[in-house]
Amino acid sequence: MTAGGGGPGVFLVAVNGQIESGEFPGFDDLYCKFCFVYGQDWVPTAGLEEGISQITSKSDVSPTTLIWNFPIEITFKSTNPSGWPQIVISVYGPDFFGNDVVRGYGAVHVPFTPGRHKRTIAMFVPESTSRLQKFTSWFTGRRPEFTDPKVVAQGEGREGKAPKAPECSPCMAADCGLATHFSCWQQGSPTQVCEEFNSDSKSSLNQCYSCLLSSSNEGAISRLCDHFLQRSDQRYKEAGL
Amino acid sequence: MAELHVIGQLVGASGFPQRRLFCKWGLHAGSAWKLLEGLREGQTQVDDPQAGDMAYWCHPIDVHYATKGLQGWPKLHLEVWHQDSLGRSELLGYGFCHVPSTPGCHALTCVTWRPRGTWGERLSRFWLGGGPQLLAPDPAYAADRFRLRTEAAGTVRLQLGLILRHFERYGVQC
Repeated sequence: MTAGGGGPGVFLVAVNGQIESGEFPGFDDLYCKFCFVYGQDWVPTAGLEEGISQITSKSDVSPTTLIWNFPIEITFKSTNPSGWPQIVISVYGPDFFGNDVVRGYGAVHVPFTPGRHKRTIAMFVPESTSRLQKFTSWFTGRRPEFTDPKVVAQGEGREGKAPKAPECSPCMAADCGLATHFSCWQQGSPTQVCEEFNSDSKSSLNQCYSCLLSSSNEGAISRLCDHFLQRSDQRYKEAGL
Repeated sequence: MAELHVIGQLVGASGFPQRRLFCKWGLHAGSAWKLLEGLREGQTQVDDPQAGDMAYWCHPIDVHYATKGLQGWPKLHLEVWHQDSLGRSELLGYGFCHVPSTPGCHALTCVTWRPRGTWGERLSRFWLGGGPQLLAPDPAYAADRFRLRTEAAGTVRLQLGLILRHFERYGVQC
């Protein structure tokens, strides 16, 4: 349902539903993860943005369909229909040797008319480029996977060419090399900046943090927080995040 | 200015003689239309269907147009290609369809065609792949199809949702 709220042009979208079931011929004991991908003008105000379901199996009652019945409840607030939220679903399961491998990725836009909707999402898996890689991945259980399943919801970079590198604009607060990387990181992934964090001085690092926080780029800020939570970095506390 | 949001997916394609398909798509609109947000063109991934005939791309389309006139209503141009196991790409079909003009969710099927070629070219396409392509699949040349011989190819499925804004201010009822 959609509702008006707040100033002019602000609207809310409330989504209630479930991941009901899946048809995966040839695979069993699967679980699914969902997450939402949305544009810059959207912000979730209530509910869960991500989730992992239970592991389910086929049974005598339903020999071809896997039933999850996994609830989805979320409310978004926005001023612009561009960047309408998409739900990205990834399904995982065991392979012959018991390793956890990806069985499918899929994405669909959240419907934008009020009412009851049923959507069937086609799932796909990335394929190894060479035959040798296909064989070794079957053996070791390390199938090609997306590092970030959210890439499924985006239109750029699907043709297999490397996407264009994001432009770096140096942070105004400091002119150390780290600041340049930091702004790049607002669009990219945190791992490439990891090494630099270790070597640079504390003061310039805090300057970079304040620049990032004042930019109000929520995606980058949450990535920064997640990154430091994982590393249990001292600087996380020092920076006051 | 009136605004139009097109939010949907290029779902997939079926009815083509080959598997391992990808699609190059582009949205074209008249000079009165201005693209405010979103990507106007793109290329999907290559999909190799394991079950059934339909190749699924589920490629998202999310564009925001502003317009001063109704002429040149946006059209979606598609080219379906096949990538073989050696990595070569072969054209399988061209197609286009207009973006719908009523708000809501629409499931569209877009038919495609490909240039037929002479008897010799068809024989070489059968054995070696490849085949004639248009030099300029530019929509500007769409009116000049008179001398082109084509044959039918498969269909592409799309799901497009439309949100229109301020059209009634200009006396247009959608």
